[in-house]
Amino acid sequence: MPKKHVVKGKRSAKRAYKTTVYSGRLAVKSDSTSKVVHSTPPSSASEIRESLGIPKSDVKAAIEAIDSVL
Amino acid sequence: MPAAAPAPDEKAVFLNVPFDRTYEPLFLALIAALVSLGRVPRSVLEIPERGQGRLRRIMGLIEACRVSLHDLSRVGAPARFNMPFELGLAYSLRLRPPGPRRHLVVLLEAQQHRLSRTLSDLAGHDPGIHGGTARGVVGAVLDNLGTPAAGPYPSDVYALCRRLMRVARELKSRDHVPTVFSRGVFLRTVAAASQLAVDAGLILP
Repeated sequence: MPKKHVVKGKRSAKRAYKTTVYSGRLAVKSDSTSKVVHSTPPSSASEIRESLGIPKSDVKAAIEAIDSVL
Repeated sequence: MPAAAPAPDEKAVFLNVPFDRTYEPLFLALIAALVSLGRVPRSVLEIPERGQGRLRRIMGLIEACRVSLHDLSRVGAPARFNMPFELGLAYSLRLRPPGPRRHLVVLLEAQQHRLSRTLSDLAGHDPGIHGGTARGVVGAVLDNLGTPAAGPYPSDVYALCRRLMRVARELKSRDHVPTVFSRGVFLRTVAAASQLAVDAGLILP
């Protein structure tokens, strides 16, 4: 039956596509995205501000804004 | 022989995203999620507009970050080429000889499977799908850069994101600017996010 055949083809194409994507995800993960990135300890708030070179006046302005709305 | 580039900052994440008003909630979600993970969001917004050296400084900024995050969800008119272009710059770092400090690229999209049509060269790379929502962005960032066992919980980060949105509104109002996409408001927004993350017990002071 031609119609049935088309539906079957679509389904198998979808399965093949999903398999490809899943393989890609595994490839990216094994390409060290998680392992290396996760091994980095988190920065503290002061380290984040220092890395960006945020002036103290901006930090003060940010805290004032927090205090005024929260 | 050219001098070796300095080692990238392991915690810095270069943000390659659209700078328009509709993207602002997602941008704030990115900042909230990254800061909650103790990471440093970096952006070309830090670089003043001075013409000729801009491209070199953008490249320098990408090189200074261990990770770059590229949102490729803006595919409609008007065409925007900055994001694919900067993704190309970042990917060129990935193609350097593999080593312990190899550049890492994280892709984001709004829709499942669209990237395979809009950028087929990246077939096999699975983007984080955010569905065009701030909550989706939080989930995608935590999926890619977080550690499920160590937290933080997505609900905590999203709550921080909602608070940051209110603070960003106040910061814009004080600066009389329509969006957070300016150097000063960006820096103050990151400062506010880091303070909110401390208040929420997500990072150390």
